[in-house]
Amino acid sequence: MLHALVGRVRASRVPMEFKWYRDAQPRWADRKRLLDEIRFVVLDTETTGLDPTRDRILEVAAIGVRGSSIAVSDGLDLRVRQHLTTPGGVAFHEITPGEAAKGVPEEEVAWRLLPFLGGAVLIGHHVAFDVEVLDRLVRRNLGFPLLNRSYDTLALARRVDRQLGNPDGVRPDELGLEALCDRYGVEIEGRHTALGDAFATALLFLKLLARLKERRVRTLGDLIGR
Amino acid sequence: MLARSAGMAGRQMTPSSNVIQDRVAEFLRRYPPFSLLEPVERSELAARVSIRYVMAGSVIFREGAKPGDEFYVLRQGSVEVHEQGPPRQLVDVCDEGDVFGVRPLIAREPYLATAVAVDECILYVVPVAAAQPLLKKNNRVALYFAAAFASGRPHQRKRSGATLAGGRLAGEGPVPVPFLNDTIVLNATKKVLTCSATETIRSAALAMTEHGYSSIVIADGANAPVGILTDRDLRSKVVTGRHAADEPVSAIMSRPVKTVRAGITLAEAMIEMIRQKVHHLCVTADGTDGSEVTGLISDHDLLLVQGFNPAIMIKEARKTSSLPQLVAIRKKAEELLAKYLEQDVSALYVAGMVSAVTDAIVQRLVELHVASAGVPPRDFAWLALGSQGREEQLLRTDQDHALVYAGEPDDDVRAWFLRLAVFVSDGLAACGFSPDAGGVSAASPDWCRSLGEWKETLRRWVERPDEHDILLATVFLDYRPSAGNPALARELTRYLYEEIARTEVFLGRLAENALSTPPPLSFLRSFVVERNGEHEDEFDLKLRAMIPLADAARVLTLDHELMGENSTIRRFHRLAALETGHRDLFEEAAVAYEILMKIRARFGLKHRDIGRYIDPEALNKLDRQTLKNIFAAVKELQDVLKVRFPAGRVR
Repeated sequence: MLHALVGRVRASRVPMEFKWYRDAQPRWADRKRLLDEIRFVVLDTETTGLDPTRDRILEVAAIGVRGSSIAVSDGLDLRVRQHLTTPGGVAFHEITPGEAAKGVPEEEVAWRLLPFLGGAVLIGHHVAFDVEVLDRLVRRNLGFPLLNRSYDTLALARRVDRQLGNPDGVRPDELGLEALCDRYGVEIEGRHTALGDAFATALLFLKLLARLKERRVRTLGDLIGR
Repeated sequence: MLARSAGMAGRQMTPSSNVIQDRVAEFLRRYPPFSLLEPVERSELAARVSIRYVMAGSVIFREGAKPGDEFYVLRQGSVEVHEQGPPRQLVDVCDEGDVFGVRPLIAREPYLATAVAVDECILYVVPVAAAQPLLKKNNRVALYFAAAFASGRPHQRKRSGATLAGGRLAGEGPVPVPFLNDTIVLNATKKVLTCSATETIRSAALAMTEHGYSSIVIADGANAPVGILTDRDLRSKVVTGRHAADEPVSAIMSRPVKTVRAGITLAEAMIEMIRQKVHHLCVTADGTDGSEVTGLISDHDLLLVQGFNPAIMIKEARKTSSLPQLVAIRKKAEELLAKYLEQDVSALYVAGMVSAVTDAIVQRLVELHVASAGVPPRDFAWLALGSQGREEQLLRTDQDHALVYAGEPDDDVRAWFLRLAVFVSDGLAACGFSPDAGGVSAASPDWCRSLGEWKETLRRWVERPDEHDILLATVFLDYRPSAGNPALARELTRYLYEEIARTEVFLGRLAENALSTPPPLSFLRSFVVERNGEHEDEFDLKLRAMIPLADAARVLTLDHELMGENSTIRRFHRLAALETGHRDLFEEAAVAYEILMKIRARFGLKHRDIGRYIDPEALNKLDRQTLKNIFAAVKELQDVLKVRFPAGRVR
């Protein structure tokens, strides 16, 4: 898993003022920590397109999860300032170039996002994409990479299906966010808004994680490996 | 919603509100006691909630365990509460919106029962620390806990203590404090006015007026009670001329006084009052009339403690499959309404309850239809309109409702929903709500439409409103989803604000409409005096005072984009908080509206009509003066609208 490697990027490149951020990341010994004690942050981004090398973040929403609970106040929702020449993806997220120009500057986004994320394990549906665009945003503005570990709800869903004994019983088209939410009885309010999707993903994550916990997935190590 | 406002470009989720918080608050709004909170309080509470998922079969808390510092509101799923036993005994089953596990709110003692998730559940976990200040501050919320405790299922509450059980009331106010004990003990902490038997009636009445009491105990030298004098006595014996105000109180006091010891229970007090046919019980040091007076319990106090219990009524409504029972429940709500008006309980509170009961009836009627006609072909929302939409319908006036269904317009789908609407509308008619004379009904094709069609209608109203459109808009725009999927209503609201933002015409026309009826000036004998000096012998309370206030609140609310705030009173409170320049005026308007609701309900109940037309002669002096002040406030409010929406902008 590519994004799991992000956490292993050489730490020395992180400037002193972000030492706290580096130090907050889980270490080898943390693999034994119980999942209930781990802070997860469920992420979703709305972007101008699907190419992480070119496309930019228009909105990022992040919701903290700990011990099977979502604290309503533990969240962040930022509209990111972008100067767009074409209204990429506007049909999905309904963010027009004019509105995008009113957002928070990228650098400020990075400054506000990292304290919020801290050492949390990032969760998302196709999280690799969100992690990559955020990583690029952080590098562009702060000069070092995003260090958080991450885990995909898609992988989690596959794992739950495997645990339930149907290794290839699930067709790929049943693993989209909407299909999974449907299967697990999660109502998505505000589809294609970062916060709406992130909240639905967070509920989905809680439901999937509860199922894994029943099958002896108890610690961080059990969940994301080493 | 997020994509709309530039002001929302970036924010940490606290302290300003966010969508998830709004969603939690919106859910809580539908259920007591949270329905009784001010929107701001509810929003703040929602910010401190966490959302927890539990799998089917999980134990949420266990009998004998030390309580945490939280209690629960069931968002989704169902929960069983039982005593371990033996024998194991089911004490409660919680449904969506139910509050449970409130033990920590009351006592730091172990749970008396175990709560298990029957199927997978989503819980709103409320920290006790977030709820406690609301109990202290908001008597009505405290009262809800107390009321549910008192008139609910005492046996169960006493033994489980895990379900919705009594909270402590704030120390102030006229309400005695029930303790969560094995029985409800009435604590007559209220100060008692006393005077000697030789005092004149006038001086006793002055003392009562000065202290704001409705009764005074006549005591002897040792401060033991010898009689009691109440407002009722003054009314029936003095105002009628049978006794003069300068006679001694002993001439008209009721005696002997029924005395009880301190610490009697609610049930004992009720039995005592019924048996002795009295409205007051005097608490004395040793419970006899030979010892010192220490407190007073009135039937009003008991009524408040016992409570108008909407939770029970709503639960009954949700369960029943019989139309006659729904009719009976709505009738019961009205009887309690009458009692509450008599006791001067806040109209906002009572209206919220009555609306909740009506909503429950609508929801149940929808369910009953679905049970026989099958699953609805589309997602839909039942929209309560007009006064029911504003949650201000105290009396059973006419039905105003509409229906919106998802997706494209379709004749078969519409036909299905029209059948549903006819069923619900007939059910409501059986409950005493007459069909709307203007045909505003979801059972009419004009008011039963797809989301797209409604948007089209709204767009037309907003872009090119004619006079008729504006009138329809004033009925429709107070819509509130009372059954089905509220997301459709929210989508409509989102669209509406988008449309309104694009043009200035609509709000201008609405404002113009709100100004079309200036309030009268005053009353003179049996006439209403108009501003132009004319005299009228009939006073239309609704048209002349209530509608102008409701209209003004609506325009200003739309102008501020205060989504989902429907009650006129709460709208004014919100506006007062937003516009400090007009704070006093808006607060005054809120109070005015509340008074008008009460006057209307009082006359309606008395004359068994909708309370709209009032014979000025039937108004007492106080009513007249109050109304005159209200007219002045309405006038001032209309002046504010005139400045804000100048006529030139409209045309």
